[in-house]
Amino acid sequence: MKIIIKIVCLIVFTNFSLQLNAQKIYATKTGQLFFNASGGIEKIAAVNNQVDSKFKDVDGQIIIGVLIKGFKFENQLMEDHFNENYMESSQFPKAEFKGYIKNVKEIDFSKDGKYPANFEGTLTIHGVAQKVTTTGQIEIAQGKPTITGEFSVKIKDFGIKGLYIGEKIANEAKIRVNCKYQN
Amino acid sequence: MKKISYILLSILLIAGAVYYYTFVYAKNHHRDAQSETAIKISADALTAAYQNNEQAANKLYLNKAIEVSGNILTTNKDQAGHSTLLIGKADAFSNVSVTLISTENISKKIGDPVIVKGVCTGYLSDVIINEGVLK
Repeated sequence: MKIIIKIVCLIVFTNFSLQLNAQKIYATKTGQLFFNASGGIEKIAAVNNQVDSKFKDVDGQIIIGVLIKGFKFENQLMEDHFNENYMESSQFPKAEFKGYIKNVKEIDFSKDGKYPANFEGTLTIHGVAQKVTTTGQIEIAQGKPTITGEFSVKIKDFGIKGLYIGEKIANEAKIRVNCKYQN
Repeated sequence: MKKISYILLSILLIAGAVYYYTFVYAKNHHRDAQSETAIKISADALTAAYQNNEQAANKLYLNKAIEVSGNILTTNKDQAGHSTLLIGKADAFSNVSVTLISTENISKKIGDPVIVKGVCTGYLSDVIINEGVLK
């Protein structure tokens, strides 16, 4: 009887540890996010180099977080207006995407290559949450994944008000993500 | 006639000044946190403030020049090539993540005490300091 219990325990523990080994969390604190809302001749673009992101290879759960005050513009005045008049970054200091890579099962993380990726989740900007779906790419190089993707957001959908939206500032801002993950 | 010329000249001067400030000065002059008076705080105290109450900590530190001290946990480079370092305690859940202006490799070693001055941009999984310079 004792032997049977020992064997059952061994099987359970082996299975448990295998499951632990099977799951991998990839993370970065220095991903990149590019923002472009140029509506006319004037370039309204910024980059954030401190994107914090994590994802799980088993179920594709992903989180991408970014601080609004971390966006750097070429023009300081533009950066100040972006923070104060549009994003109100003292009140809403971060933007976040929480969701899933829906086709994560189709990605072979052990094999170098480029894989299309479908994302679905909730994007929160300026304190307003919206459901979003978008496509991107996951590239595996030497076991390390890089997520790239580009999508547009309607500025007014996120309760962002201010002058010049639809004129100098485009109605839709283009967001480009480029995150190299470590494991 | 003289009056009209003076008014026109003033309008032109004001328009010129506005144009210069918006498109020339603002493009070439960025905020220099290094010339600002900084709030001096240890990495552990800054992290604890954010973990205890993020909103209250933002009121004190967000967008302010901060001089943070602590021990180096890791050094790295971001995707744009800037040097980065993590300061705090090895066993802590959150620490202070700093991105330097410089792209040069950090000469200090892991475990070394360090003081960095930069701008606090808020809290994600760590407290984030941007535009940092090693003191």
